[in-house]
Amino acid sequence: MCIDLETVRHVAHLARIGLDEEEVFLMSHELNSILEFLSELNKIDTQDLGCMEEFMVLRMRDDMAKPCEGTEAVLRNAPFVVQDSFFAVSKIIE
Amino acid sequence: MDDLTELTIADARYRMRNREISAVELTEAYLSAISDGNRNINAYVFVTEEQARRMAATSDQLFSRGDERLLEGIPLGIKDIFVTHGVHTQACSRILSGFRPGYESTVTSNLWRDGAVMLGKLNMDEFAMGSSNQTSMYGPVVNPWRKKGSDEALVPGGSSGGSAAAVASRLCAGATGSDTGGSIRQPAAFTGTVGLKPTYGRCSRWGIVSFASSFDQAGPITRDVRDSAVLLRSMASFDDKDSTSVDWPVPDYESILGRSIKGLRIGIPKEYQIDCMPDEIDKLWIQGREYLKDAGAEIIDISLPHTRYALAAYYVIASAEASSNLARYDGVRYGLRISGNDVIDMYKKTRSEGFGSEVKRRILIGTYVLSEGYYDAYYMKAQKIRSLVRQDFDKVFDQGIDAILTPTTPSAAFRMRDERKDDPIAMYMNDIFTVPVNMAGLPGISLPSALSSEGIPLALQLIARPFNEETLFQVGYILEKASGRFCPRKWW
Repeated sequence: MCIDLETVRHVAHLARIGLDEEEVFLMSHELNSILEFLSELNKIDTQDLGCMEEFMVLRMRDDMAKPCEGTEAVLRNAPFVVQDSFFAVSKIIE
Repeated sequence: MDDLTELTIADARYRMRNREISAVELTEAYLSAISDGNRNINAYVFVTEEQARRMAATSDQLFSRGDERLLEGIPLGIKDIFVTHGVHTQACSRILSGFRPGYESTVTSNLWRDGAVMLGKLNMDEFAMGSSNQTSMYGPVVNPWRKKGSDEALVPGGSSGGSAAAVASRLCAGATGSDTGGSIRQPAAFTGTVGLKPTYGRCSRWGIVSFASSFDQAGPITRDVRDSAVLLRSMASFDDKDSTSVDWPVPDYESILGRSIKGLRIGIPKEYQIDCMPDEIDKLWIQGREYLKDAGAEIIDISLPHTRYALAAYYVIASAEASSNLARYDGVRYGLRISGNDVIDMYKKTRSEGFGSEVKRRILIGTYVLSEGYYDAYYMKAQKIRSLVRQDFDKVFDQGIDAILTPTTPSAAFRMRDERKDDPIAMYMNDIFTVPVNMAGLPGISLPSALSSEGIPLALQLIARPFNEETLFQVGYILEKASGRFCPRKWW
């Protein structure tokens, strides 16, 4: 399996990471060497194994309202805020 | 007065309780050590001097009333991955620049509840991704250990490299770390300190910046086994805010220290005997078996047949989880934001500027293995292998094995300019003995066990059944007594 430059661009777009052409080239080289390392997995046949064993039993919480940080505290870390009560982003709907 | 930073947590506790020293004196000794030494070690990325002095003064008031708590006045360093209320929390990534959390992690809340003092936030690999502490935006941490007759800088390991280096260089009495694939045990091995990764679910993950949620676990890095037991008792708790936290009593781990290991069955897995392992590490492993045998344990050869697949499967699952967890860094709610032509362009620019290369690599690999057409071949397959790795351990524990002894790492600390820096795969090989423990969610401890011929630490790892941290302390204490303790010569 080989990751070509187009695949790197596609995956980077899915992950919303901007890469310039030099980085695309470098990453394709590095990702291919990582995938080669991951090909170790092909040496074992897992075809007949069932779905993975559920060893982590997740606990459900009661659905109860609890006090939490207010709007002001939540917005305090935002890089751009409008009207003191909204996160600001560029226009999304034309 | 002698140098107070030489005291272990247990010694400092004893002397403060006997009113021989005050909490303020102890904290001042550490603040002064940090101010002298941190520029050479680069363990701290943020020192909370005022807060430390305030907390220590409160401790002295409680001592004066006889109301001292479990960790009263003990000065600790906190890995930058733990969320601390109103205090620098960045996981050493540019993308969290300026973040000041409005809440506190459960693990650190537990420590402060028990009277510990916060000295500051410790350096780490960016988002805990790395094994040499060279991916931090604050620059590399320097290992206080140096090879005999050399002043060349060595890496402290990673990702909890700042924690391990701070403990080894006496810049804190103990530190918190987090371990996803070996990030507590490997730096502990490289710095001659004791590093414990508890059972998955033992410490709450609430308020720990997420890397790979099904592996991440907090634990202590300390100078000896007793201090590790003392800190874990405070750090471990059931927490309603973490759905993977387990409601299981937290024992007084310290009370097991000194108990005989006569009749305990120690497993030696043949798959950990790898080709490229240096003789010194092999000898160390044999020496460890001898120590335990001399103390009355039964040494038994065991097999963990799927070990060789664990590392690759780990990198698939951990990268997949990381790509999902790190999707939250979008330049909208906190941290860095680089403006763009539209919202997608803003995301891309922010994430391109905000993440370092190792983080980008792992996000891209994670996105790839989760993408259409590759999910079954990589992600599902890796999950199946994870089950096999866990079943390997289950089988040997079912056969009556109480603990497993292995080396912690396949090498001692390497040079900062080592070629591994530019080869991701060579770097991943550092974690070959630690990753299976995370895959199976088991507790593991790294113990400094000897010095190499070049005079730097080598370490052994013990692995136990889930929630059997007590066995690790019981056996670890015996190994520590037999091997002695190791302290670097001060140059910083």
